[in-house]
Amino acid sequence: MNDNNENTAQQTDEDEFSVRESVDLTPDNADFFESEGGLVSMRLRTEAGEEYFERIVAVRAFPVTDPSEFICIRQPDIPGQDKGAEIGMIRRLSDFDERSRGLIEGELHRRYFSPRITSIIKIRNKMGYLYWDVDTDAGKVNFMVKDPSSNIRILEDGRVQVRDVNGSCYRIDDPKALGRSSYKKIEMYL
Amino acid sequence: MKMLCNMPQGAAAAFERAAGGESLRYCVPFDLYEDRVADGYIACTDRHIYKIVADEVVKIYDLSRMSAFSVETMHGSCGFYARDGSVAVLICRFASRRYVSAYYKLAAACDELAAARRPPEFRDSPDEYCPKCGRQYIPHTSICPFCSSAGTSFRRLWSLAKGMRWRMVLFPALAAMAAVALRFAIPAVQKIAINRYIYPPDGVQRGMIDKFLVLFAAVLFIELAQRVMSALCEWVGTRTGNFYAQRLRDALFDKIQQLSMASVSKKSSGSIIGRINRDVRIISRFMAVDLPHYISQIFSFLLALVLLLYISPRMCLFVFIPLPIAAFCIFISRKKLSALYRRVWTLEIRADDTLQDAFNGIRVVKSYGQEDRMIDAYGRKSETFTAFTERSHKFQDTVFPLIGFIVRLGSYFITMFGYAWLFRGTLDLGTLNQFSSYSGIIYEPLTLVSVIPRTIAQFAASAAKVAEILEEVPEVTDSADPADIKIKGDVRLEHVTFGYDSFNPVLKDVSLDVSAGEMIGIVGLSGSGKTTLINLIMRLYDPDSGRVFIDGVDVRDISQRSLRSQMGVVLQQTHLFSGSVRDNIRYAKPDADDEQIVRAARIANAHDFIMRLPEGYNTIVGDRGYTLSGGERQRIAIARAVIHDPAVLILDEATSALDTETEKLIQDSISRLVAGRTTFAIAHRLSTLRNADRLIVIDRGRIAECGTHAQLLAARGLYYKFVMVQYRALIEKD
Repeated sequence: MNDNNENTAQQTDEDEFSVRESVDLTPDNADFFESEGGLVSMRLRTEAGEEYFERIVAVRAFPVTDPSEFICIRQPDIPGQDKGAEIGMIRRLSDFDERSRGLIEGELHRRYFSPRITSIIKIRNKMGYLYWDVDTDAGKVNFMVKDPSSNIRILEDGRVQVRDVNGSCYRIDDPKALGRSSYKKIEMYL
Repeated sequence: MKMLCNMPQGAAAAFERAAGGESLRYCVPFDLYEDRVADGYIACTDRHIYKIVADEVVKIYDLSRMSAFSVETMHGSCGFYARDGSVAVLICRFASRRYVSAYYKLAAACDELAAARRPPEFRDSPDEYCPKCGRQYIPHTSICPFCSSAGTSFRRLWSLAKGMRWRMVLFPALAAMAAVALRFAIPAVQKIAINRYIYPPDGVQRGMIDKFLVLFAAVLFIELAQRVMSALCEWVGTRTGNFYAQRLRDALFDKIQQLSMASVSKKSSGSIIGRINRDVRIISRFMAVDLPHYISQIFSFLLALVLLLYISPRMCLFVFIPLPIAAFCIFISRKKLSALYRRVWTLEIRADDTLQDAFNGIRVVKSYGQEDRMIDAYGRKSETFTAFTERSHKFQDTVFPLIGFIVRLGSYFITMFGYAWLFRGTLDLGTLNQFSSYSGIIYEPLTLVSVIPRTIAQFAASAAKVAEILEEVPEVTDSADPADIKIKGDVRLEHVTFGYDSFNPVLKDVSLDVSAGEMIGIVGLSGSGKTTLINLIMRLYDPDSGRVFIDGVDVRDISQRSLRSQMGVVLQQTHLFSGSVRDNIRYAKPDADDEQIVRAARIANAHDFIMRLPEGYNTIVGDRGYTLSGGERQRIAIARAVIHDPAVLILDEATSALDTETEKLIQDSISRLVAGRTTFAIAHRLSTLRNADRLIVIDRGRIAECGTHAQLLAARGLYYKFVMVQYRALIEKD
């Protein structure tokens, strides 16, 4: 297996409790490229030398308020063994060129699946559970919302987040812009 | 979820074409493809994985080259990943959590298949989705809110009313009907009085006054009887309503005590208390007050209708002209009104949340000087709430009088035409009076039309929440014929595997043999499964596979009562119940006498500080009582365990929250408590475990090391590292 860098492997052997040091990732020390499997690989240059990661995972620190800044690049978790360690953090995604940005945004997009509701077909209230039939940018979906007063969240800038019983998240950028008939259906829950 | 689901024809055909003769082993759906909602299937044979989307095979993976199958839960979706050679690949994505456990199983199976080993056998777990509409059940129940109507909830709650149904609904309804019937009698008697004695056709004659007085008395009597009936109906309704509420509350409380810790802690205690109180009130009110009332109103409507038609069919016309108009108005405004009510309710909750938050966090608010901001935040929310309350009231106050006016229009017509006919002589005064009284009655139930749907919806919502608790299946249940045994203290675990989510094991294949009287120290990083191990020994959960024995008997065959009554626990945080120190110490053994209590307190090193409390052992502690320090609480917990005299003792971080000084004090009392009992002690501070006969080190759900302190140190393994880290930390501090 040539994927994992030997550096970290040795470290783990040496001291069980040491944690990988996170670095600031900039276009100068980090290269992102598409892996053979269609995911994202990365090469990192530090004083200690060069490291290669066959697959990285991108996680947002502020997914709601700052989706394109403070992006944490991590190694994937190895099931039943290790939680993936943080490799570094990208302060601003816009520092990177278009190609790298596209790759990371693609990875982020895979991770943060939160369809934008474009119109509300129906909301039915059955025994205190709301059944939503909506059209989103990912297609038609229906979902179930429990306890609407705590699972429909209004952000400071007026955006609305709806969380269903499974923890999936749907967003509405501007409820009023959905059109009158859609707005009337959600107005009472806002 | 099935591991081998049925593909629709198109997808099955595509699979056949691509796979040739390979037999299908697993088939699991997925619902996301290229960021769009899609119908896809992962079909797995012994050699390949086929990814099928929209009736076409879009990708084939060769199992023999693959490894490291895994499921990653991401934000809003999950991914099924693997390694193809040295390359990480994303096999598929799915948004529905419905598939998660199936993919975890599939990942485990594929790992085996890829290594050309026999895949494990899976039981199909019960699907938590409604077979009728395909929508999700309320977790841990088989209730589909979408398919169940208010009727189903009603039947469910009705069954709880066994033995009191007659009193609760039928009697009040009958009494109310009787009251209604009596109400109808009054205008009928009045009619006789008017026609015969007040405006008699042949003029007033002697002796009439006596008969009139008799009629007058009759009216008075009927009026009185009607009031008595109404009062009786109310009285019985309230009484049985309370009785039913009590029964429901007891049932809920019973159930909550039975449910597993996980399920109870998931529901925050605030929401449970709120639920029990509010929902029970709504339900019992509906069953005992609203429902009989509605029944009697329907009866009253029908009776009035029949009587009106009987008296004068042509005048009925006037009654019915405004009826459709009023019904239409009610229908139109109902939707708008319920939306307004709902909005007001939502806003009220949002404002309440802010208020509650500010109160609970008052210390933080004050210490950071954020009062103004909190006032601001609450002010804004309360402002919108007030604005909407006003709006809804304005609407209400416009619509209801309007509807009232339309409804009353009928009465105006009746009076107008009634007098015309009266003058023409085609109608007598008594009949007119009777008729207009009845027409007043017939409109009354009409106003209910706007209230009933809301009450029923409210009832249904409360019923669903209550049913959600009542129907939850407890994770741990007694077997058919549980044994009560006297526990000696041998504990044995055989190949125990367990996870709070069955697809994500926390403990893996753990085996352990402890003989009576031994003290076992459990060491490991947080999240490694220490507390889980103890939960299994106490049987707060049942293992997914493997068995737990106590004195050679499977814990599943021991009654939970007998098992737990012989186990004692001292946790990191001790909960003191509201009550005296004395009550708290003898909590597990309410019949303990004062001598035993004092002896236990002495053993626990608690006697001394208890004597310094203002009222000694009778000092009230708990939420509203005297505040004890962490160390004092722990010592009370130990005294509680001493009096309980358990065969198996569990110390879960019992001294972690305390300073070293206090710990030493408590350590002392613990060592007295431990003597002669099987003890499991979890501790972060390794010095706490120096008395342990054996130490086990748990690492990522497995027992990594087991032995005495000296043996483990000599082995220079994980334990050695733990000790060194703590030792180093100590040295550095000094």
